[in-house]
Amino acid sequence: MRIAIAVAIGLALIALLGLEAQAVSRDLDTPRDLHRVDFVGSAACTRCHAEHAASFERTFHRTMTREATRDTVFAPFAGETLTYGGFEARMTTEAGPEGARFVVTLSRGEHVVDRAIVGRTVGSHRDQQLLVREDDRWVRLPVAWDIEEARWIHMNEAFLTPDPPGLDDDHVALAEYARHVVTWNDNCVFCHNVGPRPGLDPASGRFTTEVAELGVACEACHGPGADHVQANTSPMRRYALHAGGLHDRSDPSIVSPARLSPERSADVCGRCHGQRITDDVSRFLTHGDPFVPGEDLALYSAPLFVDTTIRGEEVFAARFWDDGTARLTAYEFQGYTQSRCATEGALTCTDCHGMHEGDPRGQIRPSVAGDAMCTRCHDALARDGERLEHVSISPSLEDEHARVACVDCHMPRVVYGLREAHRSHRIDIPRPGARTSDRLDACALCHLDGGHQPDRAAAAPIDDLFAGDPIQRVIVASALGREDVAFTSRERLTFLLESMRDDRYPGVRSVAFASLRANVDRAIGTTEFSPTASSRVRDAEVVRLADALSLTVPSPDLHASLRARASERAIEIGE
Amino acid sequence: MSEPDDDIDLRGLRGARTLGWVGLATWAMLGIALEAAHGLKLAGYLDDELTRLLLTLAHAHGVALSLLLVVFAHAGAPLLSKADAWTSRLLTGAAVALPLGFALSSIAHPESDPGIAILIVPIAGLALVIGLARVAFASWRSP
Repeated sequence: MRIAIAVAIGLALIALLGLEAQAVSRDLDTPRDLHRVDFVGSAACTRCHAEHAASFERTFHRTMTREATRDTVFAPFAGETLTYGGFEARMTTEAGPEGARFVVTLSRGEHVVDRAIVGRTVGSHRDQQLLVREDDRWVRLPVAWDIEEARWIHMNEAFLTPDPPGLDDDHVALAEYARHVVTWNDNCVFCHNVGPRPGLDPASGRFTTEVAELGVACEACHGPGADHVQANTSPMRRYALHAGGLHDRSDPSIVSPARLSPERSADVCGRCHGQRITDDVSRFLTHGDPFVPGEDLALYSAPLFVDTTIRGEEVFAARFWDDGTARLTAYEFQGYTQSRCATEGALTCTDCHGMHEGDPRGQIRPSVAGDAMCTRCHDALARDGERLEHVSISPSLEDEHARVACVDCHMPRVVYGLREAHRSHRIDIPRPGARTSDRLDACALCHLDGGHQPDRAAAAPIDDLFAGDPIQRVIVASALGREDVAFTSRERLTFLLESMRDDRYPGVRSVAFASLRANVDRAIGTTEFSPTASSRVRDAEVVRLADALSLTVPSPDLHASLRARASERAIEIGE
Repeated sequence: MSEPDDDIDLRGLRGARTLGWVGLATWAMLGIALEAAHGLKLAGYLDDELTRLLLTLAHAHGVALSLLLVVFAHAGAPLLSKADAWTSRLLTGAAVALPLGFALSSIAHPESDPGIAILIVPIAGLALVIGLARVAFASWRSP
């Protein structure tokens, strides 16, 4: 009798387990429409995926947007001041009802122009920008904290626009001072947060903005997770997935970019790392971007290219070199789609960049650092002899080029963003020699003297520092920061001092200053040089720096004829 | 000194006693190993929170259930007749399997869950509860 009861109970249990297994199997075979799923926030993800959460927590993605607190604000706010164009911004801390309040007081002479209480921060890698609440919207302040150099900067220094009128008289118009003050709700919100919904009411022009989570968190790449969290409260389902992992069975309630096709995986990154345009702007501004990871990005928007037009005008052309290569950051997706590694191979963003591994600066997977990623496909080039033949360099120059990596030639630093030159993500083949594009080729970024050019009478790449447009000048100023370019140290420093003093763009002067410091930071010690100072102040500081470096101060007339040829257009950076 | 009752499950009693003391020694040794892992700051152990939890549970349950077996051998098994031998086996098996389930499930586990060996734990837990209930019932009946 006892045995019969035990057998009956056993059979009943097996039947129940079988039914549950069947239900789980059906559930795992049912595709989900993630548009209808709610966000849950990264805390819910962390409960089960603690390791992934911890590895992503280290990244600058995660800390992109945060509430301003003692823990998140990097600047001292201890009474520092930043003067620019006759305005003085003073940064202080005061006690508020919910802890410390960070205050930026802007004044001109005795007159207080504005007093702003910082509510949120944007960025945690290079610069930390500050947001203040104004009625229904968040607004970015015109001052920011340079994290690496630990100094305040005016935002005009980060953009490629010329000095405003009145700078040398210390009387810049307020509109010029606030030139890069932008609204967060219809701009930054899209890429710096999870599940943004700007909530613009077209009738009133007011915002009721909501985000699922501040900063770039789990669900930005994996999609909304409410269904996933709910479904996986079942241990049977979880263990079916653990076992299924061995047979590549994935969970339809969430997106794993690693399991997507190369194109769909790149779309996840391209949503933010590729400036786009949509036919339905009002829908985006009201309800947000409908794209969810796993979908085709092209369903909702198209990446901007050099020939993208608005009402027949190529309004974005200045953001690209004339060969169509992007010259600004946040166009990496465009470069990727222009690369044969993507169109003819199966490369995707996450082959090189790991969101859960590597140095947070660049997030390059340690397993593919150096040339390792390239030689996975181009394996013959891993051999020294083949490599030299590939780059057509004579054996006598072998030592000189021993340290040149694949990306130095095929992904040269010809892209501007955040006061730095970055690598192009258009993986292409450099064509040294006769210059056919306004873009400097990869060889020229080292051979700035033009020594590699077959035509010795042709203009040397260094001329771009004076005669180029703002981005060309930035690219050369950045290249001069490296020791391995074809000039002596004294020549490089003299070029940089000249650029710091005479360039009309604070953004170019800022990059030249950074290059100078990269060379001789210790030798110059503390410097009062500011890229946004008036020409009089800059001139005096350049004289002092030249003296400290035992250099002859370059004459302003030296490259005047080249400067006369320089294009002074402003480069709009997607605001 | 009284003669042992012929109807007592002596085999179960000896088994429980032996496994109790052996288990106590074994799981206590695991405790020392875990303390050493803390003391020596072994990254492989300290960095994996779930492994730590599972091994700690294995140690705690192992020691507690081994003690239970020793107590059972002295105070529980004499209450059971030979016909109730399966109760001894149930308790002894559960006391061995339950901590072992925790320990084995700490090996190569997925990020969010213990390894598949964790399935041993609820089954052993059920066996333990049934066994304890049987002993409690026997105790109730005993003169």
